[in-house]
Amino acid sequence: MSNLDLTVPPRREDRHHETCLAYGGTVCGSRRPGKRCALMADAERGFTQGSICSLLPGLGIMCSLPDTAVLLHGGVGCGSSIHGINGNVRAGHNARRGKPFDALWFSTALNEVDVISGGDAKLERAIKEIDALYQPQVIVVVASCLPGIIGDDIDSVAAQVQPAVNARLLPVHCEGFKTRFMATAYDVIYHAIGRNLLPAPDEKIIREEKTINVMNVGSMGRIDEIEIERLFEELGLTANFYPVFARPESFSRATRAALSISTCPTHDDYFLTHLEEKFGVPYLIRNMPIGIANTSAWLRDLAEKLKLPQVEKLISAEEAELRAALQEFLPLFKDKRVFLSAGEYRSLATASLLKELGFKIAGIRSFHYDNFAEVELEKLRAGGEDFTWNVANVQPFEEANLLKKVKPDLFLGHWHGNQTAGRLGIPTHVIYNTGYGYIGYRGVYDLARRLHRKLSNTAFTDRLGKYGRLPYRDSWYQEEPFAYIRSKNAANAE
Amino acid sequence: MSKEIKQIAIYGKGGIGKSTTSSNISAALAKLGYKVMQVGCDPKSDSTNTLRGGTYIPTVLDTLRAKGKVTADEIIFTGAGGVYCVEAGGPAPGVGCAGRGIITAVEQLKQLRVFENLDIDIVLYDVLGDVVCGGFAVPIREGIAKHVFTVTSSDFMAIYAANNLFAGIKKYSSTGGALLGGIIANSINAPYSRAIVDDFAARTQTQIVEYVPRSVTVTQAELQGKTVIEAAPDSAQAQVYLELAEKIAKHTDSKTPNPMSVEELHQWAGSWAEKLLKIETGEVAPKDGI
Repeated sequence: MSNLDLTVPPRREDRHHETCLAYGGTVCGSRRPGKRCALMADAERGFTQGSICSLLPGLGIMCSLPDTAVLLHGGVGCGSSIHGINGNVRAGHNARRGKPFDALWFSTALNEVDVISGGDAKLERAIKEIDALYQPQVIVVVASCLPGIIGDDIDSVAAQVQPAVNARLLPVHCEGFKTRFMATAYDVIYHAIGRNLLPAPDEKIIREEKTINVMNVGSMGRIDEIEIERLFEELGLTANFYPVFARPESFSRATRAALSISTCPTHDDYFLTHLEEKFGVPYLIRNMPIGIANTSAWLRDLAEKLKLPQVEKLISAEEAELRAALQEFLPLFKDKRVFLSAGEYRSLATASLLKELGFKIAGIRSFHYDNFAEVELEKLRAGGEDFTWNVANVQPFEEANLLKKVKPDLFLGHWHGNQTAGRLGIPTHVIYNTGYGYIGYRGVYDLARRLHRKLSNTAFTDRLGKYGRLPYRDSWYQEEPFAYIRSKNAANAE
Repeated sequence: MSKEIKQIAIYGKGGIGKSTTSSNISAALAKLGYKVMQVGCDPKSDSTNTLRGGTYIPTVLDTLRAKGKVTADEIIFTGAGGVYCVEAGGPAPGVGCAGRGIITAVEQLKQLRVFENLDIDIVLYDVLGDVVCGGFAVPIREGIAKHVFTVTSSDFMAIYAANNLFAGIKKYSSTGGALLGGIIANSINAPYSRAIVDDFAARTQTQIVEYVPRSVTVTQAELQGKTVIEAAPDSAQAQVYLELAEKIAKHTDSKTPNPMSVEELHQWAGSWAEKLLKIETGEVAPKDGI
């Protein structure tokens, strides 16, 4: 039975055998002799400073969809992150449609009486009202924790209301309390799309032989898509970007494509498997087109599958041009020590990119670990060096301690994730910002140019380090950065 | 400082006769001269029916839903013998969260300071069945009720529910929660019934407060929408309830029970099943079997 037959998708921790949120060690040390990974699936922190609710990445994707209303069924506070997400939504629409559009979102704002009596009736009213007032093509009905706890049945409500409204209703189960892995959100959304927005598998599919589904991610700006389109054009291919900022029609187009290719393996397997099984669209999920070798490998995978031998010519021309253009930056980068912190795959792939620019990797923090990371970890292990590697769902205290010890020359962190490094006086740059290019050959150049500028004048972070301070006691810095990580089973056995 | 209000929670498996017992205790306490309030903590909202001529009263949660806030006179109704009646209410079957409903309703009563304002002597919470979630434990935690009495028959499922309740009481006993006053043994007619509940009380280190026989008087009274105290004040059954009420009114020292583990409970029930089978098949005389 496919997972899509279930109303609610399984959690990442149930779907993958190897998942981990807490690890402190090295990239090479994470591999157990003769086995795949030494990371403890049950690793816990004795002290946790923060974590990431799956609603955050989930809403990031859902709010980007054009002509779509997001109806959050839960407490009103569950939608607070959308105020932050909205900046990205506006910029994304501006880049794609020439005009900024706000995320169209609503909340049933469940109160105490709703919790006791059930929120079904309120949800039904909200759906009908949104349909009448805003006429979206799709209404995503997102269940946050509260309906999950009290047992509100959003699927039944959607099924009952569907005949009375014009919009397609998309029930999404994103109860944050159920999973510790925010990556579950990707599965949850693909699950809802797969169940509700794709054509029936028995419809005759007219294959578009030159159309490739490119699974984009929320951290990928339009500028990165343009780079992929540019490379595809050289190969005579068209990209169907999907699902972030995708119109409902590109959902059905996805079933007609010749091939699907992932840009972030931890993101897409759930849906790619479904497209292949139900609609005969084969897929590639191996590399992330970030970095020179990675981009070339990503293109080679694609060309091999589609039998496009001209790819080698394209790769050698692109690489030659890029390497020549990078020359002016490389002397400044040589042997500078860099620290990276981001989502699992992005952090590892960007480490490979920075190595190509001549940086030394001082350490990497990945927000989580699952088996998809192994491909990228292997690339780093193969280089003959070893690096400090920390798997942490945020945890700034651990980061502060680690950075004090590692003392990198440069820090690349997540959007909103550079404060700790900045206050320690380390020059920082965002590891993703949807206004900047990162992907493909162009992305390598753009990133190198920005890093060069950053490192040419570090006065800002120098002063921030001099006058800024972090809230931790000196005694914390005397301890090991990973002092709080331990196996849950071992802790219970004590 | 106002006088100490005696707050009592009556728990037991659904259908075991909790509401009947509670209403009769309330009516008996009123007859003995106490100012009593009975709070029904069950979404069915029928705890106080026999105190109100067989009618339903508007619940705390219905009123809260309709008006956004509640006042005392909207939720407190006077029943037979002057017993104050309140129904917490709850969601329709199959939706929402009844446990949260009880938390909210009890909070409302506390915030309105109704016990103090009405100069209540004794409050009886009549609480639905098993302690299935935190909401149903509200009357026994946070120092709301001081004493818990459980209504049980000799049916094993009712005893399982009582044992679960004891586990709940034990859990909260160290943090100022209610303690167990004892067992009200209901529908006790057959000799072995009494032996079973006696044995259960001994095993869990508690006491039987009263044995209440099954009686047609109760059925007759209920069909009239009345308590036995009101409908048949001179009956033997009314006398039983009056004695029970007297004991509850005078009760002061509750204890932490010692619930059986799941395995112990199964073994215990198994040994009783064997004994009952021997009585049934005539292998032993009823008197000797127990």
